[in-house]
Amino acid sequence: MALLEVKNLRVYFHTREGTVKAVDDVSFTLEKNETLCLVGESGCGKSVTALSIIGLISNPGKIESGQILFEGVDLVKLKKSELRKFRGTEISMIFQEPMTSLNPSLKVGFQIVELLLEHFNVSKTEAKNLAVEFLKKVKIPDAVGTYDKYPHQLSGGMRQRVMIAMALISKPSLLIADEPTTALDVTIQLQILELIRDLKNSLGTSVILITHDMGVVANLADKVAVMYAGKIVESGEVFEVFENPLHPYTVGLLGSIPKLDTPKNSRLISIPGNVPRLINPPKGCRFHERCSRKLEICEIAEPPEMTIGNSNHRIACWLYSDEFQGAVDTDERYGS
Amino acid sequence: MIRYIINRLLLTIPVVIAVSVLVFLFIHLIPGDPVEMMLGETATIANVEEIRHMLGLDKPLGIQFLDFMKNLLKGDLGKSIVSRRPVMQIVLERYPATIKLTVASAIVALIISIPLGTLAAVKHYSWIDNLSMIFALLGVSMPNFWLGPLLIILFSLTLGWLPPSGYGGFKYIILPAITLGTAMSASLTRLVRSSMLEVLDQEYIKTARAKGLRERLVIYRHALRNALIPVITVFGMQIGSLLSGALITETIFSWPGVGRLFIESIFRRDFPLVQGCVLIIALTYVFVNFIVDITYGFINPKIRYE
Ligand SMILES: Nc1ncnc2c1ncn2[C@@H]1O[C@H](COP(=O)(O)OP(=O)(O)O)[C@@H](O)[C@H]1O
Ligand SMILES: [Mg+2]
Repeated sequence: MALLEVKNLRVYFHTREGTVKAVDDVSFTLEKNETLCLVGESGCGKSVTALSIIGLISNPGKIESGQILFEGVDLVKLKKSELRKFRGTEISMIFQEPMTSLNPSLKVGFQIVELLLEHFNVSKTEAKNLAVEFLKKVKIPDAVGTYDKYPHQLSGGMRQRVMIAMALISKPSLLIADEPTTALDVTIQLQILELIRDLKNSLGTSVILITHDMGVVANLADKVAVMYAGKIVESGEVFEVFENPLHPYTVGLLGSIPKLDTPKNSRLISIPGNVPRLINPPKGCRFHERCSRKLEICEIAEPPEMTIGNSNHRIACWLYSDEFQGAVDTDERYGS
Repeated sequence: MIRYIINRLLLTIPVVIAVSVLVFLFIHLIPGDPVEMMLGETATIANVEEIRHMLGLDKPLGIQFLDFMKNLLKGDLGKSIVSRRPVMQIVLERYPATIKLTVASAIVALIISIPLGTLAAVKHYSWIDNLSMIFALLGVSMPNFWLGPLLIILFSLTLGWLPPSGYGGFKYIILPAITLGTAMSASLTRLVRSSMLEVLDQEYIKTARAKGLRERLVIYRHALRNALIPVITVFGMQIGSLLSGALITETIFSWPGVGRLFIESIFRRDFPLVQGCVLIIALTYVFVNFIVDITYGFINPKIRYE
């Protein structure tokens, strides 16, 4: 059984201006010990997908339909109190902004310990020892001293290490990292990504890593899912997608892999235009307005999802509907 | 932290000096001759001269000020013109009643505003949120001289549950404390609510939930603690309005505090006593704000470690 199977997930935000279809019929599978990268420009629904898995979609957002099967249990159907028991134990999450994702008025050590005290039957001393051990595991130089520090006394990189320690201390089966390095300096970015990769290997955790950076994908992922405007437009094993990118959006993203010497705030994405607002997404293929290879049908009808040959490589694009016609109705092969 | 406390303490010194100077000047800032005003139309020349001498008003201003400060340091504020007793003694007799009322009102304000503001924020847009906002609006727009009599009519005269006025046990403090605490609790409720709403939107609240903490811990340990930081500052400033509100409330409820003493001394034109009241209220305000600053430092580690 796959560790995580997301099936036909739809998450909408009912705002005053209208319904934001942030995640619209998204499906993917994550096996044990795998790293899946969810990639796409900002505003594509990556964070909303992640928050749905950990059950943190709140008003005005709502999971409209779909299943999130975690080790066979449908998280969407669980009661709040049951779902809470998965959070921080089986499924952990770290966020983009290390500067704001720790509570400024509590010592970082305590913020780790309280998780253990909430979910496990441990004494305060045991919890503290474990916390210090994990602060060492995330390579914080002065783990004992750091335990008693407040967040504002630590650098961004150190805070993100604390977040990682907190996320992994219960040895979860799934770690969701939502752009964990976007807010950090380039050199620190690499260290943090390596840390996540090493700990993932040693703890046997599966990882969903969200990024808008194809370079990160190349370094860490086993599988990749490319998201655009609330939908997954292409997905598959990393080597397959990188070797043979089919969707024009994927091709565009791959053309924009930054070099290490690119200035920090330069525009990484080379595709002209912006992600459309998801209240009234474009008809047909949501990417057609920005697509350089647009066909007539792209403006009219949603592209079918197709599987390439016998692989896990899937794509939703009209350009390939002739080539892979037979695959249109072989959806059930996915994930088996 | 010690350095922070000492720092704050040093900062109060200029404030205390300024307050003393203002209190000293008070008698000289009143238009006309204060002594003649005190004594009214029945005053004889001899009387005026006697009082003038008693108050030291016949000396040059500089000397008067030095004398005033010297006496102040000794805790001597002169004598009441009416009763001829030392001002300090009279004021200190009345002081505990005012402190009791102020503390009771502050407690009323806090036990209403913190839970109500928190609940309103957690249940944003619900009926309880609307209710809290109506309460906040009514509370700040109801003056003490109106709310006080209203409460007396309802709870004393109609229902007969509580005494209408006077000083004594717990029963006597309830109505004045509610009268005085309502306006403060109304504005604090609004502040707690908006501060909570802001904090609940922060990333670290998402982190706390992602850890699987019980919602109660998320609200109280993670959100409220941070939401109270701005509330504490405003709370300190509002103590000032409690102290000034005490003037009216103490008078309405015949509460024998400094506030009522102040009003009485104004009517009797007992200026040394008026000075004494102003001084003690101002010093109390300075002291409370010092305590608030220290508390602020305890809650907010960013301040503590600067
Ligand atoms: N709380 C919210 N209310 C309304 N719209 C939201 C909310 N959260 C996210 N969205 C919308 O959902 C879409 C996807 O957002 P998000 O998942 O954060 O994008 P990404 O993580 O890919 O940058 C965006 O259009 C965003 O405006
Ligand atoms: Mg995001």
